[in-house]
Amino acid sequence: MVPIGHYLVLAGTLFAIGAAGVVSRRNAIVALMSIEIMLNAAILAFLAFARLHGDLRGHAMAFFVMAVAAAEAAVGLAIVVAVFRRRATVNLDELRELKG
Amino acid sequence: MDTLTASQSLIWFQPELALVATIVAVFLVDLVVAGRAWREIPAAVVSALGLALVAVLSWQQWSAGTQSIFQGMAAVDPFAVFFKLLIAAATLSALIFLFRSNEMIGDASGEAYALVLVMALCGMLLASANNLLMVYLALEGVSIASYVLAGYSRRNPRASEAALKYVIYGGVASGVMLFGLSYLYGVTGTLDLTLMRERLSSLASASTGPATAFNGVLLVAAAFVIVGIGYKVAAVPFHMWCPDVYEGAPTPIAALFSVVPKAAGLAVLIRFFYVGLSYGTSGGEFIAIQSLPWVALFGIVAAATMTVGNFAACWQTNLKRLLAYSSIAHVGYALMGFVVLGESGLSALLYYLAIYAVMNLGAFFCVVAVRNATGSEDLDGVRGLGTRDPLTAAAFTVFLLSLVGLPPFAGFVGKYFLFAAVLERAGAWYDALVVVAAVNTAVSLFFYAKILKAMYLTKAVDPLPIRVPGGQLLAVLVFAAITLVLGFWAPGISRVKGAADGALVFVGYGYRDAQVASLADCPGRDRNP
Repeated sequence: MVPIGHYLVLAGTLFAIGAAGVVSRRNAIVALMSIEIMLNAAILAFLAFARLHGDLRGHAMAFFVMAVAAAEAAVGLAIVVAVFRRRATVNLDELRELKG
Repeated sequence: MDTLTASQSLIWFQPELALVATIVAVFLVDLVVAGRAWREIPAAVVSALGLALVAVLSWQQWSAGTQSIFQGMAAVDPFAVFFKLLIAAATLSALIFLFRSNEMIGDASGEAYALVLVMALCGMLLASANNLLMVYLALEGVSIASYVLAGYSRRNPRASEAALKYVIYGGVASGVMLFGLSYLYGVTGTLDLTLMRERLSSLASASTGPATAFNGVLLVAAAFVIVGIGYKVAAVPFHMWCPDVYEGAPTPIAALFSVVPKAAGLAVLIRFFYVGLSYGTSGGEFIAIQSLPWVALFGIVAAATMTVGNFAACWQTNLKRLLAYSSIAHVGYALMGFVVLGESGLSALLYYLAIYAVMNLGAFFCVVAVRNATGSEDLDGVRGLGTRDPLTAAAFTVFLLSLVGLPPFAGFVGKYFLFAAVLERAGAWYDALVVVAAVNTAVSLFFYAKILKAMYLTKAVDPLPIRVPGGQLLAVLVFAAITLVLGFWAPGISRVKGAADGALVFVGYGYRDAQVASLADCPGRDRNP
């Protein structure tokens, strides 16, 4: 059996990649994808811990997180489409009408 | 502890079930009348009746004691009921201003009502969540409904931009929080908040050796959770989305955003940290598990939140943006009660939240009235309001002075309880926090007075009198009357304070008499060390 440390290192790495992606990439769709990677890192950590404890609640949590992530992605992409129709760009740096 | 199974729980879940039924009814009614000119009326009526029913059903739970329903997923206790009533009342009053709002014309309006109700439902679930799964689901429910509502006026390009920023900030915050929750699950092996505290305390006493790694993991997990919930209540440094979203969203929706998600977020913050990560003692004080310094973290967050909110508000000319920064500052004041780690602080926090809901909704409603009449939401829009519409201007004045915290308005009493609760705790840090808050109060007078000056001391661009619809004017005046009466009428104040005190009963808590019996079911665990 693969020891838990391996899973946790992988989850931590995925989380860092996701967080770095949101911070550094300016395309809104790539930012949403990076957020998905962060959520998946958390799911992986939940599953690894569930295996460690021999407990099913971590698995249940993973399913719920997947469903919520799908809902969030649907709403997020719909909003990206709405922005693109108005402004013909999805670059976060060019969306600067609101400030002060 | 007695936890009810799913079928036994349903009877305790009536308010939420009624709200779910109302949401479905609003969608169906809206389909039936689609395309008619009066299609908004049935949706609004059904929503209002449903919310009134929800409020009545929640009210009946107030004195019904505590129950842990759905095998510990959610709690029905006075604490949850307090927030359910607050959310239902705030949503109900916002409906008056959502109805026929000219910011929503042309967009399918029945959906807007349903989404507002979804936000209220998830806020209620968040206030009663007693399990990490419920915390996450309810938080995301509030978020997703708010994303859609923030970008609701599709013809306004700023609305879509605000919604996009909201989604991205919100997604990052929930991802960070979820990662923190996974570590808590990993350390304790449970998702239940009450069990989590017991496991943490037994783990802490078992690991007599170097407990630094254990503490480190716990502290990282707690900090990640603070990111997720801090974003929801718009605490600095997770507040950046707040002004943009309030400015982009339709004004009645922005008014709701300033109350419902913040109240629900503070509720889950209290439940998570006070039930999950600390002990109650019989003296009404709490002790953090493992002496984790999360209280110090929140002290810094509270001071930063009120300072950033108040100073940034000074430069704003858009009223919604100004009120957004003001609402950030008020969350900072409320968090002072959180830092106290005692019942007096929590009770002051709940009192302040109730008062804040009234005065802040009132201020937003005045902006809605002005915006509907003049089409402007800038400082220039309220110029000469004192002569154009004396009643609305007078009510707005009451709300603004109450937001500053001047006597004889309700905001003063709220701030008094908060300051007193913090000063009760001996320690230079607590004194410093009160000094920061006092300085902030003085600063806030500057930008609230800017609005007063525009209303009374400058000439209107357009001197014609404006007319606010009767229902809206009545609602604004009722809110102003409450703000005024709760500033000096002692019986009223003590009644609200009594409700805030009575709300401090949590499911799964060891120190209250009502809960002592349930402790016998958990042998071998010492809840009051």
